[in-house]
Amino acid sequence: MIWQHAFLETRWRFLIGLVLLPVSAAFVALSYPQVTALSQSVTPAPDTALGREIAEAMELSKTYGGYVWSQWFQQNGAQLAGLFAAIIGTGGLLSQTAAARLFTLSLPVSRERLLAARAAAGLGQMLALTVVPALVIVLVSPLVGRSFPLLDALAYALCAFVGSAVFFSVAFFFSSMFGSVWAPIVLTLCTGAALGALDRITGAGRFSLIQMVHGESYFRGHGLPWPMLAVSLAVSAALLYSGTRLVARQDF
Amino acid sequence: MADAFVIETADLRKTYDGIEALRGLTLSVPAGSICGFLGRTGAGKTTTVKILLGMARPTAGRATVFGLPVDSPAASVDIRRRTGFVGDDKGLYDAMTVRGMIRHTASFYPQWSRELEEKYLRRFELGAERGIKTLSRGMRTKLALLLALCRGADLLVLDEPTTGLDPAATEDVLQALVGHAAERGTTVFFSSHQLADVEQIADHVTIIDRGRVAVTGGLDDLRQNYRRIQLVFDGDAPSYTFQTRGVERVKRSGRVMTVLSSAGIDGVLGEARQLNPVSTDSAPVTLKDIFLDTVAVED
Repeated sequence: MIWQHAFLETRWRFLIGLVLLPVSAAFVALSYPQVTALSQSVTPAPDTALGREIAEAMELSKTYGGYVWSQWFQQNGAQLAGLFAAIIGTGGLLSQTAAARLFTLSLPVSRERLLAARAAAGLGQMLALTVVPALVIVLVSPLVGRSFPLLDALAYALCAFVGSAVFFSVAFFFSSMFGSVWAPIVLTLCTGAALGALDRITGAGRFSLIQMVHGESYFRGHGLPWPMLAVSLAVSAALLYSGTRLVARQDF
Repeated sequence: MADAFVIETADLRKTYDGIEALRGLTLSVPAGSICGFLGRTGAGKTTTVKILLGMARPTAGRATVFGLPVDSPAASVDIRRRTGFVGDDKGLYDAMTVRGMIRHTASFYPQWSRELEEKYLRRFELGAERGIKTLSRGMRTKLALLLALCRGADLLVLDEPTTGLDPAATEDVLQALVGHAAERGTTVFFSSHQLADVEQIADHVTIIDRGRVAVTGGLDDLRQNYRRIQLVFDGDAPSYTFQTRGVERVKRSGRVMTVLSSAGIDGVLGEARQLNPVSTDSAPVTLKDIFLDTVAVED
């Protein structure tokens, strides 16, 4: 039942995500004909940053695979997954009302198990929020006369899941420090923004979390970024462990 | 052999940000007793309850429940498995229904009694499909009590269980508690401001003040042994320190000296004779008198 309770705590956030992300993914896939038609009438100015980005997007959109990757896995999907990771990772014991918290703590379950259940339920939800939209793209692509390989979709979903697990863990960690539900969300989003800014400043190297979330290495034909996936999983585990230890030591 | 005491603490201390909530609390709750835990707001009652249930850790000292140390996380889970808790705020999950809350709680207790569940659902007139959010304070208390009673607990810990209830609901809750304890031999440890509730159901009383035990014992023993002795003098009552065992408080007001004794009257009267009072009088005291004399008088 602690699993059920952990799931129930974030079920509305998860269900909203489970509607929003697949619908957005389907919209991206189904918009391909309109986007390709539109891109033929646009001539970006190549001497500006925005122009270069538009030109790159147009270049990628010449193939359906490039279009889906750049529009969903590199942009909308990654951003939405990060946002929902922050939202779902927030909460837990500290944000319950004081009375409900005491009831929870009076149950014969260790705090570690309570938090492990919450982390597992949240990560399960994040897995669904990254895999389901990828599968939706595979399924709706024939409707626009295209196909998107299942293996590619799962590879990108894996990258998105592991990356969003880091953001989930950041939110989980901050939730063990703050009783407010907003502080962990804001701090997690700030962390994401800071990582994005760092990528822009440094030129995003091999160990860029953001590029890993996008599945950039896989798209560029370099295979899955195993070292970065492993590092991300280790960072997530460390954050989840630290958050759990913080709560386990607290007085309520 | 079963332990004589279900709850024992020795020199228990708890400090929050430099403020001492408990300052050497030493108490014992006999197995099978209904122990009223009295004290003013801020005396340390809730802190004690939280420490006993592993929600807060003691700064120093020792506390055991069922002989298990409360500061060991593993032992604390065992303690909570055998303990029913009703918190001050009657904490429940607002998103659930009554039945959902019952199913959720029951899943943690293999000894959960469906028979008792049905009995208390009927007795408390709790609609199983009602949302927790829609329950009145009285109904929340009854549901919290149902959740505590049906789990087959050996110990019930209740923090201000009747606060905010009307007299009828209070009576209902107290009767359910006493009936359950009598039937099953469950130890009940309940903190309260309501002296009348304690007098009605408790057989053992512990009064704490400023984080320490001020008075403890069987309620009948307290009633029998506590006496207020009034000494009247010709002039102003003399300043005097009694050597007799059991003198708890001495108050002087004009010609009158009032002595609260926890060991009957003989010793005090014997010693008081040397002060030459013009008259002496003694009277039994109520729990309220004991409470006020041992706790509130220091304000």
